[in-house]
Amino acid sequence: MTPTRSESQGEPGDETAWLEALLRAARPPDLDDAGFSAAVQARIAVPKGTVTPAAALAAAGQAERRVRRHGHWTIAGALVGALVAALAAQAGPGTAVDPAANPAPALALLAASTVLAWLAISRKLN
Amino acid sequence: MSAPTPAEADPGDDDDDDALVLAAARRGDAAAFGKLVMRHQASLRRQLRHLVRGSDGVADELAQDAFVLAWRRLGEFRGEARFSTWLHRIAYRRFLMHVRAQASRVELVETSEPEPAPAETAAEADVDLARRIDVERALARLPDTQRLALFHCFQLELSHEEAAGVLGMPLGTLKSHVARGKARLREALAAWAPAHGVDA
Repeated sequence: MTPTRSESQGEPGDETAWLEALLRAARPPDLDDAGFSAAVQARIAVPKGTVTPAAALAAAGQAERRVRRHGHWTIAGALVGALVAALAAQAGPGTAVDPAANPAPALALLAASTVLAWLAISRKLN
Repeated sequence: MSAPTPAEADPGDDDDDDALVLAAARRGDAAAFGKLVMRHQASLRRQLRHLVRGSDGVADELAQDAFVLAWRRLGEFRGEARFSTWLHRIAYRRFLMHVRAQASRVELVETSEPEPAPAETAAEADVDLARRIDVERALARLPDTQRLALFHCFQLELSHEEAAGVLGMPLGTLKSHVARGKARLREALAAWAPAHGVDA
C-alpha cells in the first residue's frame, strides 16, 4: 500500500498552502544517532545461554525426527518378534524341546529379547 | 525553505529495501533489525520528543522501548501500512502508556505553555530558527488533538490516513482536527504569510 503523502494534502489554490509549507519548514532538525541505535541493539541482543526461537524450533524438529526413528525401530522389533513366534510355532506344539538338540528357537528368542530390551533402553535414554 | 534529507523526508523511498531487511529481521536477524533502527530512529525520536515535551531523555527512552516492542512484535506486522507508520503507532501507544503510568493528564488534556526556546537571542538573526520557534509556540497553544494531528501530518510527513492510524482516530475526525488547527495557526502565524514577505 502506498498511501498519499501529506505533500498532496493541501488542495490546489488552498489559501493555507503557505501554512503547510511553513509547518514543514519548521519541523525539528534531524537528530544524530549518537549511540541510540547501539543502545537499542544492546537491549534486543540475546543473552548467552538463552534459547532463541529459531534454535528452539530446530531442537523441536530434531526431537520429532528422533521419535519418528524410534517408532520405526519399534515396528521392526514387533516384526522380529512375530517372526520368532512363527518359528517357535513351527518347532512343534506341546512338545518339550531340548535346547541342546535344537538351539534355533532359543537363539531366536534370545535375539528378539535383546533387540526389544535395547529398544526400551534407548527410548528411555532419549 | 530547507529541504529535508531524503531518508528523513520520504522514508517511503526505502520501502522496498525495508521489505528486504524486514524479512531478515523477522527471521530473527538482530543485525537486520539494527539497520531498521538506524533508518527510522530520527523520525521516531522526533515524534516522541514532540509528545514528551521538555524531556529529551525520557523521549529517547520511550523510543528505545518502542523499538524493542517492535522487535518483539515483528510477527504481527502484516505490511498493511508502511513499516515506519507501524513504528510510529507503537511509539504513540508507548507514549500513552507512559502518560498513564505517570498519572499525568497534562500532556494530553491541557495545553501547556511551550518550553523556553533555546538561544532565543540568536534566533533574531536566524530566520529559520525564528520560524521554527514561532511555529513550535503556535503549535503548543493548540488543543492537543489539533497539535498532534498537524504535527503528524506536516512534520512527520504522514498522510492523513497514516496519521489517523497512528493516533487511533477516524480519518474524518483527524481531518477535522487538521482543518481547525490550520485555521487557528493561520491567525497565530499570520506574520509568516506570503503577504508579509515569506515565500510559501
